[in-house]
Amino acid sequence: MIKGLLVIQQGGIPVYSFMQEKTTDEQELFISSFVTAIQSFAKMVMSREEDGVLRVVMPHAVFVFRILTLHNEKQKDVQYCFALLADSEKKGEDLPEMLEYLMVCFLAHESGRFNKELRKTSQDLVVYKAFDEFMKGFLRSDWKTVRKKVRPAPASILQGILNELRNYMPIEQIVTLHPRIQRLGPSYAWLSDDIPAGEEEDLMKRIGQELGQTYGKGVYESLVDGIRKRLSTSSSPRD
Amino acid sequence: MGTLTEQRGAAAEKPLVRTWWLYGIAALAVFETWWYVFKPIDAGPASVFEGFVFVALSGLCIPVFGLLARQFGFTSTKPGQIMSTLALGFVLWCAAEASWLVLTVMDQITNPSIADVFWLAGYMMQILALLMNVRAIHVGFKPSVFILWIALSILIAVVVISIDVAPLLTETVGLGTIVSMGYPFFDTVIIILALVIVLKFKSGQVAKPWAVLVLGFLLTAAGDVWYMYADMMGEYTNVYSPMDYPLAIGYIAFILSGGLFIRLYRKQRASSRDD
Repeated sequence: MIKGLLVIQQGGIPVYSFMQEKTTDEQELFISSFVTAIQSFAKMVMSREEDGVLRVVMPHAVFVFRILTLHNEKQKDVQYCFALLADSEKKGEDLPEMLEYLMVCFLAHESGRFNKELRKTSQDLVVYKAFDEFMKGFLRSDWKTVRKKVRPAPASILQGILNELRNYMPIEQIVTLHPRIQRLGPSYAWLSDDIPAGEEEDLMKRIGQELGQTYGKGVYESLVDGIRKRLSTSSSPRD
Repeated sequence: MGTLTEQRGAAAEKPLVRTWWLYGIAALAVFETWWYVFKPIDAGPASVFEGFVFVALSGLCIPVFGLLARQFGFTSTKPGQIMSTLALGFVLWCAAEASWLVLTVMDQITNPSIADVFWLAGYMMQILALLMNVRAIHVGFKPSVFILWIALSILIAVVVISIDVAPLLTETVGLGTIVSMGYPFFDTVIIILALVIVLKFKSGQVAKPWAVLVLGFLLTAAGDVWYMYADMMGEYTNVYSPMDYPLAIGYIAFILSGGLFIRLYRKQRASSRDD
């Protein structure tokens, strides 16, 4: 069962944490030791610049990590560690897949506002509290239903296209489309930086060409139409 | 920077996109044709060898579709789910072929047998994969195409029922008869769903691998319907039977289709890297 999500900045500072309600002293102790362990682990992992989803299995808990590199206005790397905690890994609960899903939802939350704040290395932790409602809904819902029915809200047209491309191209191909596209997990990709308008247009044109050549005319256009319609809608699992 | 087409051409010349496997598949198809036309060895060993070939062909489909499923993150994406389900279907069909081979060698063939359980379970997986595919990418049909699909579906259902199901209805209904009726039913569903794919993926580079996959399903279904009819008429022999030929070619078509899918995505990835 999923216990919580933690987002840690370089240096081990937690910028966002959501833990399921604590009911017993034992659970409280368990969660506080988890947070301490994950902070030191995140620092170690970030200094090594490890890639991919990492998993740590403990006697009564399992957590998966993913380091995300964003770029600030000065084009400097800003690293964050996203960690998902569970007390056990249930059958049908693919933790890396859940983590990448939550990462996309977090980064795209409020039309990509969190992504912008993270790039600014904002220390205003209250900003991210708006994600608590989403997490509550997520934890109340069945994962199979969420992954099937609730697609992450697009932060922009381009990011929306990247989210949908997972159903048209292997992730290895998606990340070759632009050097700023990075892999989040088994299937999602994220743009680490704002790219100039002209470059963004070229990238979208190229995705359109690739989809047209692979699936025929009209597929890209209907994809973009769908994203435009979804841009203003919420992605809460309660929807 | 050249055009995308020029770069694709350059990528196609790279050794990454080799075609040796295509010759291998062509050789398999030629071998199977030669086998059923010239009947090169005695019936006893030929029967066992044929069984081995079917196990090998169905077994080859598993890594091919498994690899495709892996490219799409297994169950985390729709294409990954489709390819994983197809791979699982081939695992079950391979188990069916293997158990049929064992039963043949031991001369213990019964109706129904454990092989039927695997075959029917495999059919269910393949039907599930085709259904998922129908829902995955939304392509609207023109009314005329929709009417054509309905008409063809009804025609195929009538033909299959009159060939395979009608004669069974005169028999005493036992478990064997019920299991036997499952095959034409699943064959009909597979053909109808395969037709949707043909009508859906008419353009783009994915049209070719999908068409080959559909050909595989059509050959499998046709071979199966023919086998059922021959078995009822008492004309089926376990070796060099012409109705086994479409089944063998069907498996080869599945392998070819998977290979074409893998090649398509590899070529695109190589092309994207070059840009």
